[in-house]
Amino acid sequence: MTEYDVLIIGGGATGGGTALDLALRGLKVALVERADLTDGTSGRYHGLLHSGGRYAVRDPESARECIEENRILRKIVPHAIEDTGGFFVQTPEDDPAYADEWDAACRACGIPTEEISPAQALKEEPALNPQIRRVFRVPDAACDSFDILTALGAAIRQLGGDVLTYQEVVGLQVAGGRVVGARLRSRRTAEERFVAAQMVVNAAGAWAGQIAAMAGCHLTVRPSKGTMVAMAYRFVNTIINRLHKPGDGDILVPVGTVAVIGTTSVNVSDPNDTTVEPWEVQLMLQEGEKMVPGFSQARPLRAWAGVRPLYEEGSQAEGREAKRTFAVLDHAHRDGVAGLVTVVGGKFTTYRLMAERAADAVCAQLGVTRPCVTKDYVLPDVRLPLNPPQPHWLGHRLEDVENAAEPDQLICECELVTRRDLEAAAAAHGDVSAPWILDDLRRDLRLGMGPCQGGFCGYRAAGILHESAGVDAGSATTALADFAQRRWKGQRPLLWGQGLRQALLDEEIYRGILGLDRLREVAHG
Amino acid sequence: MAEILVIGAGPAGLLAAWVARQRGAQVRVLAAGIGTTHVAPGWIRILDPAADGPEAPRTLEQWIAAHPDHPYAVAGPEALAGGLAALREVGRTAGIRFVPQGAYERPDAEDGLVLPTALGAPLKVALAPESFAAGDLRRPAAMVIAGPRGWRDFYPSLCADNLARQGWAARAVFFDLPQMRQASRFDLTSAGLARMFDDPAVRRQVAAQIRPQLDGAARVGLPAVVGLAQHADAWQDLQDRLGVPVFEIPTLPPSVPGMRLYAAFKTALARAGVPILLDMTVARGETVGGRATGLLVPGVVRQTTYRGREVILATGGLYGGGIATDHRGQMREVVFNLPLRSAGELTGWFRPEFLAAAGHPVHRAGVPANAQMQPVDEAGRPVLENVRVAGRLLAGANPPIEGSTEGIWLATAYRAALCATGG
Repeated sequence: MTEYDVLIIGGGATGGGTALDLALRGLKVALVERADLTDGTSGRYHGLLHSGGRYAVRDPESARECIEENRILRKIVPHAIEDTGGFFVQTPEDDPAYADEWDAACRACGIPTEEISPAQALKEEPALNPQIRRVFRVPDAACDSFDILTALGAAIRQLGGDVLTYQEVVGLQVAGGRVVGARLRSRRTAEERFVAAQMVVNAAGAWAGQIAAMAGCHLTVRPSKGTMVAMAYRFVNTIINRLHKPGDGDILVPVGTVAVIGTTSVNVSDPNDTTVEPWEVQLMLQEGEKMVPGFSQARPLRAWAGVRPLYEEGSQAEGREAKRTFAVLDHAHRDGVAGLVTVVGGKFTTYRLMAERAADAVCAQLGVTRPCVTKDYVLPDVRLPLNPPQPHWLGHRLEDVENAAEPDQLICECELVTRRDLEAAAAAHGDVSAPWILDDLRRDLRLGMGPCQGGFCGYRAAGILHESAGVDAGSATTALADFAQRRWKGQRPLLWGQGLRQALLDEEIYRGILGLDRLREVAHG
Repeated sequence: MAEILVIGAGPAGLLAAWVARQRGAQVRVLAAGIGTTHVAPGWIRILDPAADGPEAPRTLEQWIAAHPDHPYAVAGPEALAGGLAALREVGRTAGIRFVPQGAYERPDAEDGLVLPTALGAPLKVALAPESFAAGDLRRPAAMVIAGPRGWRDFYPSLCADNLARQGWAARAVFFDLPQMRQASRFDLTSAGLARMFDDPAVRRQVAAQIRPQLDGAARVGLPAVVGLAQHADAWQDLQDRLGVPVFEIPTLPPSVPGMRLYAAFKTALARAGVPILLDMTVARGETVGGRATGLLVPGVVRQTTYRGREVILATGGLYGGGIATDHRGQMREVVFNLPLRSAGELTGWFRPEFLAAAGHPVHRAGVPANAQMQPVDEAGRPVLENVRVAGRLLAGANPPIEGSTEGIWLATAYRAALCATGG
């Protein structure tokens, strides 16, 4: 039986951050996640490292947390952050009275703002709506959650911790009023095993209520679904926020080759509900039009939804009315169940602070006195292919491909993933025969994330897995079918115009040329 | 003034132009660019009875009876044979022979071929270029699947192992193609490799590497890259050198078999005096009183209006670009704004499963036409009497799941040309 000091449940930023924090304090940790790291809300967000401006008026506590953490994350994980800067822009549709109130609130929270003329803003960002009236510059940035979680996972392992992915927690064991470990079920083999731990941290986000219930603790997380749309263009190089009371579709984040617009805010009963509704897509396009004219005519690439884990102890507030701060619940005091700490609420930008507070609560129970050091701990950059210590930019990969001593073939032409990159990532993967292997490699490499959405690279990647990574033909075919379906899910709500033609080409390749639907690995719907 | 203007240089447009010219008309082809020939795998599928379940119609006549709105029904049962004959004729001029022979192929399970795909799946096709035929999986002969080592667009092991686990005697062999290293990385497509195979020295090297690995195999499968301009010679030469039949397997686009077919049409049409004008996007059709009177092509300096007695509209459907769609779920036929049979609301165009057995409903959208291939309105009245619609633009088919992609272009293009030249 494996025994850990602390078992952390939830492979998002909060869980990963907590596991790292505790490992840095000398504890033996395991991070457990039911799918791959970032499969939950962390991997389904828009990529905005908040300055805090969005929350300054109504939720100053969150705003203060954001600006402080924004500064820290830039130092400790520079390779995942692109310093785009941000604008808050007042469009003709926004209440003009809000701007001064907002600016004062930002100052009160310590968020530096600089008002610039609309003319200056348009000079910097010509795609912006020329009707904008006021513009403030804030220290927003674009942030890659895949890269941050990859770095957290690597750091945890380097410190002797375990990262257990595709392991679902199916029960918490409580003995004598204390949580003593968890029962895990492998998603691959369905085998169950018990993992003992002195403490368990529930960082399951929107699923935290379900985990707490396994220890008999009642916790009401209000899952709030937010839908985002990635467009096939950047439009802007600066993050654009609408200068108004936070609403739907009022953030536009340039990330890599795309721009992500978000979000909606829909209360859902099931945190697994990441369905993208047609009205949400239409609303994003309509709102995008107000920031960037012509937005709705451009080609969208993918839509997805994440589920925010809204939580306020003792509050009934829902959706955008709920505060975006977080809570650390010591269930020993709260429910008389020792050995369990829940950290819930918050946002990606404040993950490190949430982790610090959760780790403090754990250390208090364990009698560990070493302080938190994550503010100064620079996360390792272990990306594949290894870019210079700068955020992901396609140009780096192009340089690598063009300057390679030994020519290599592009497997994913959209994202410039080479055969050697794919082989290296497969070799580093713990379970290459898993049906979801290509989706895992996608998070490592960005395979299949460009305009063709896996139309060409899927077959190539499956072929290489079989040829070079020892995956049998049946498993490689299953992985191909799984990948094609996952890529389909995010495209389907957006199929019109050129995207529709691309999808029909992809169908022609998979069905007409490869005959994938004729192989028994494809479950017919 | 040409008598017939064909819009579109995809398979349907090219075939219609050829047939119309054969029937004596002066023909001109206007197209935005090359069509889907360069993507199409190269085999000819007409119907895949398996796709429609055990009760599926077994013959084209039965299919037509069961699907009265289908393009096969609109074009009529004789059109397919006409289209096939025209295809064979054009192919022959370029040394592309389609097999099996026979005046008329029925979609019965007993007819046609069952060919391996690049993924090792069996696919029922009605006929195929002769260079594909030895792959017929209804023959028990053991095969090797061969490919250049390290090439990104074909995976011999995955193909062979998938075939093997389904019961066919297949295994993979690799050969080195040093020319790949000298080529620019941009030439490492099927087309680039096919040009290499045009060179006898390359074929000699390839054969010398495969032969010792045959080990009793009675046939050799290769990706469809066995020659482009010199394909017929290249294929025969490789078989001679290997001493066993060689068959090609289509793989990721660009499609070399499709490029060969395009070249065949281009040459045949040029000889027959039919110009193919590419980069000529018809922005709009001019109509007066139920007739098309001109096709407006914008240019750098001025807009040109092309005029003809008849127009054959072969712009492709949603896939080819003949129908444009937007985020509001609007569909528009791009030249004449013809009435469309819709696929309903945007949200229902595609199913949640990418490879759903029932296929995606959006394919059925298109231009409805009558037996004269004229576009019709909801009441079935012709909208433009001198316009004939051909190919994927027509409503009422779901080609990816019916296995009817090529059959539809052959039948409808033939019929459209026939009607445009006075039936």
